[in-house]
Amino acid sequence: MMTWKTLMSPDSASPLMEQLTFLHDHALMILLMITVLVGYLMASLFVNKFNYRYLLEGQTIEMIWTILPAVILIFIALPSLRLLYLLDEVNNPLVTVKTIGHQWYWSYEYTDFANIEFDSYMIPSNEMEDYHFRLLDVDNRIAVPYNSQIRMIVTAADVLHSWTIPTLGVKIDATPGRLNQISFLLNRTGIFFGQCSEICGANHSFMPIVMESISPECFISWIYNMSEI
Amino acid sequence: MAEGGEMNKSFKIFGTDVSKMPCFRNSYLYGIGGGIGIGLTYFMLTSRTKASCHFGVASFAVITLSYWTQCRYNYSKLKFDMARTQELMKKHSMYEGTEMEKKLQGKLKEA
Repeated sequence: MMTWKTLMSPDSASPLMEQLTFLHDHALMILLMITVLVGYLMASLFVNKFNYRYLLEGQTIEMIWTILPAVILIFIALPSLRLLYLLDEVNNPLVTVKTIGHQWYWSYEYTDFANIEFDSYMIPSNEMEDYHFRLLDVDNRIAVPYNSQIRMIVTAADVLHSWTIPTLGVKIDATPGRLNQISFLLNRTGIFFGQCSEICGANHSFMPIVMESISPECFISWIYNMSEI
Repeated sequence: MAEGGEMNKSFKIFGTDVSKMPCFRNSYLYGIGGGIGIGLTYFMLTSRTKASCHFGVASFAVITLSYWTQCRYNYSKLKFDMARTQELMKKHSMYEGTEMEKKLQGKLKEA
């Protein structure tokens, strides 16, 4: 989960998020080198004595400082485009979860096996236990099996919302009257947090998302228990 | 206690453990070493301080970026090949003992 010192990407829980992190590292490395070079250039201006009052043009240097940035941009663009198309690849999901955004909670439906529906409200500060994360924990978490492709269909019942979990690299708008689909795969177990990412009213900051990644056996028992409730 | 050369040191910048970033450590080691080496060599040969600094910094940037680009490209290819191999191994265990396996083995023998 994000903490106050997380200025860059959080640790990934999905192969696509891992690729996004790699792209970020690659672009940041190039930017760092450009910053070091430009900073050094500017610092060296303090100690140089170059002086030519009649300078009008410099065709060679202008060619260099046009073509070099274009080449650098190509080095950034190629991995970026590769990842862009990788994110849109078609795959066969194992489980489909439907998410509906409301003011101000999320509701989830698992209709593959049994008609399981539940709401996920934030635990208020006055009701939280010592082990709860303030303003992040919910009463009912979404459970999904790990190492399995999950399809998420997101919509909203009233106003715009946005469903996101940063560690999975997933953010998708919940629009009333529209179904948006996203697919992801979790490659480790754990509990992952997210928060509504589209302004939706007074309690927009108080409708978090909590996903629990569990083994397929535990997921089947969870489905069985939920269907009995 | 470290055993047999294991390096468990983490180096965090803004909450990100950069020691876990593939190719980061080697890129910067080669870049810094190469930059200092080239800068010092130029200075030894010409005794021009400013020019040596320029060469040193430019070499640092070029060596770091070049090593980083080629290392990340190779890492990406390796990851892709490993993922394909894993996928094929899963399919192999799925097809084991079935007609499909015999068909595939036949095709392999023909090839």
